[in-house]
Amino acid sequence: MSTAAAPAGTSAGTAADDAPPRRRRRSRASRREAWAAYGFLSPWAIGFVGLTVGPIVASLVLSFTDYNLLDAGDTSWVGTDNYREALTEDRLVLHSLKVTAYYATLAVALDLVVGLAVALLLNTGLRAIGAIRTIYYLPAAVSGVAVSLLWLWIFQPSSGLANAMLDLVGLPRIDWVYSTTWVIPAFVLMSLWGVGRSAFIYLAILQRIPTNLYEAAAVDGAGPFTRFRRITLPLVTPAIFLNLVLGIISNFQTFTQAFVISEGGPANASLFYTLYLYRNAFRYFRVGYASALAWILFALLLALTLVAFRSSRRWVYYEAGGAR
Amino acid sequence: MPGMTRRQLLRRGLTLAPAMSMWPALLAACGDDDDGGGDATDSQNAALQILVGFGTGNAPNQIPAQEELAAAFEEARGRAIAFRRIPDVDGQEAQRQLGVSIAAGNPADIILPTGVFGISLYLDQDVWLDLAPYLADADIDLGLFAEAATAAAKVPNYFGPDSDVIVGIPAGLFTHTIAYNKELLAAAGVDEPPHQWDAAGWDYGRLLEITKALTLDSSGRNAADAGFDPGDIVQFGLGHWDTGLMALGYGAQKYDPETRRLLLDSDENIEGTQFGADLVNVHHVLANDQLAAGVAAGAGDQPQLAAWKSGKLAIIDMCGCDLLSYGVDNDFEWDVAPWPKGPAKLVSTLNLDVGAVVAASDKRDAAFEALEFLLVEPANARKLATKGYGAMSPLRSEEGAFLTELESEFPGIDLQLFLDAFPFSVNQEGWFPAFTQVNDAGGEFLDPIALGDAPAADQLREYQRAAQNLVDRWFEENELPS
Repeated sequence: MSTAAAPAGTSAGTAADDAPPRRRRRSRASRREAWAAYGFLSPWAIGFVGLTVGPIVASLVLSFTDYNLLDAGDTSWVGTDNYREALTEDRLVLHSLKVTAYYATLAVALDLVVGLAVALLLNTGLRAIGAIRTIYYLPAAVSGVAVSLLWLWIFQPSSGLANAMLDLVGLPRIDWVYSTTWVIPAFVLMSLWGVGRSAFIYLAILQRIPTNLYEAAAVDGAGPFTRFRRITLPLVTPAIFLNLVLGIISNFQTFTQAFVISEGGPANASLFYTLYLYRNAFRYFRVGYASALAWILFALLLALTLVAFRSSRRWVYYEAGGAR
Repeated sequence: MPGMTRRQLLRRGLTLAPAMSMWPALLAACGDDDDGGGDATDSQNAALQILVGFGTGNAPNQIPAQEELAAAFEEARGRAIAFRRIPDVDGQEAQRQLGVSIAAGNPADIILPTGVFGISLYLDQDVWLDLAPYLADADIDLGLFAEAATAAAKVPNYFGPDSDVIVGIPAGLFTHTIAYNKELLAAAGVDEPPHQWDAAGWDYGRLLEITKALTLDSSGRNAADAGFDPGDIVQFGLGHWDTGLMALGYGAQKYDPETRRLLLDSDENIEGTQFGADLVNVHHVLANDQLAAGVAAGAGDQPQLAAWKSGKLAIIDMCGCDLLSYGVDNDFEWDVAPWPKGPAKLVSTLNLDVGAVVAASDKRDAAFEALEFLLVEPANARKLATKGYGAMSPLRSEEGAFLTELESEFPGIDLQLFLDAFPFSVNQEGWFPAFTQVNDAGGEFLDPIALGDAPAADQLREYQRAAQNLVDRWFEENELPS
């Protein structure tokens, strides 16, 4: 393989009559390599096409049918009826979208701010910074169900940690996940558990900012806040943009905490869109309708992502080409 | 990649992807499309699968009796029984798994036990096998069972009052009493409730009076005292109590099959629901799950059970199905008493559990044979009901077995009251159109009442409007088999 893969230029000065056999050898080797590549790629390709692309295509087709999980034999084509019902008749679709948008707005904003703050902290020369970074990232690797159960205890109104802390500072107790007002803010606070993921994206960018920029600014008399505003913030905008897009997509798909902790309650105050989708698919067994809900969510996320990309031209700064 | 341009690779990939995306459809097309139909495709020795998770049946001390009977069936009939146990407090995970497994062509053969509520969730989706022909072939007379049990299993709201269709063989009957912590009553100087159904003076008013005396804050004041702090309660007079059931005593009903109308906004339902909510939010004597978790450290996912066992609840609703959990390993003296009478009538709840055969099973005959063995043969039915589920056997011949089987486990407990409850007990789980959707919609309207955020009258009128729309729509898209 090593000889066959040798760059053509290494033998460019040899006799011209050597060329045909070299081409033949390269061709055979290339084919072998191609097949080897296919072989190594095939487990992923089969999984991707069979378990991802297949269901995606299937769900698109099903969204135009009245497919019921318990009565698959009686499935018929209903055209756009599912989409029409979801967008014009089913008031819980709009309600769940509002709940989800409210949550996502707060959670994304908090994640962007706190993630950057944590990253700035982790980028300092603290002792044992490696251990601290690991500790910050560990929660992002813990199972969502386990995390939800832990936070259920934290939010327990009478004996939970959250209200114990409010007691310490003399603030009134809150019913957290048992309150229609506080259940979403509680979930937003809970979302900070995974802030290590965005912090690490920030950190990767922060560590690439040349120190001479700060040194030059300091020589010019810029204080810490000015250096942050004029140097750090513009240069981390690509990371802010990435975290914004990832945050929108992941927070609009929030499911586990509502499923485990509140089941959409109280009074549907935490009925996230994906939870309502799940109910339609696996409680009412209306898979055709649930598929339509999934594609509506996809369209919405696509639109939001496109808006984010379009707006990024005005505020995201890339070192190579400036803001674009 | 050497030898292949990016464009070539992309073209090949685009050719390959649609072809491979068809494989699930191809697999489905090549699959077995047998629609059940007796045991034509049944392997002779394949184990019957019983799904346990639609209600009771998964408590550790309920399992041995079920396993012993399964072993006895295998010895007698040569076919093994495998249990699929899905322990889950509200049964939703088991319900989801049943639906998905039916779609996947691999459902459990039998659901045992399931309440009428579980039956109703799937009734209009043809999930259950009509057992009437099997019962007729086996010459089994339904008169063997208590009338209340077979009446509920026939689901008259759906099949009609004169239909012979029956979708489950009765497996257990559960009446309800209240249970009380004798030590807490004594400490509060409260007389124990009467031990006779429909005793004079034992009504909702008296219940409220004594539960106020039994609800204490951390400074020892009770809920009737001046200065009582409802934000710092350490012991509740009442717990493990479905406030929705209070409406029964006011004469409320859910659905009228004649007019095809839900009755959620009836005066009786509004008054009774408001009274139930007031027990929590106005009188502060009833612990909901959140409050129960607050008085029971480490409550986990069963705060009411933890609160009762730690002596923080003085009185609870005691279903027969709870006897083997709430009634065992208590470190205090307790007993049972009848439900109190409501303003309109004395009424308690009757839960009926049945064994049902999944219509999509490929072992229908064997499944019925197992149900016959477990639920019709008197000795087995008695053992399964009492030891397996803590229930009364619905077989008329075994009416007294509830006492003889359980009295050794519950010495000094007035178990006779569970039997005496029948004349006052009504099954509340009967099917009505759009059953699952109407029940799920309830949270949106009932939670604000339960939290004390909105009056029952407003919420129930809204609920009625939304739920009746679901019912009307069901009738537009479906027809009753009757």
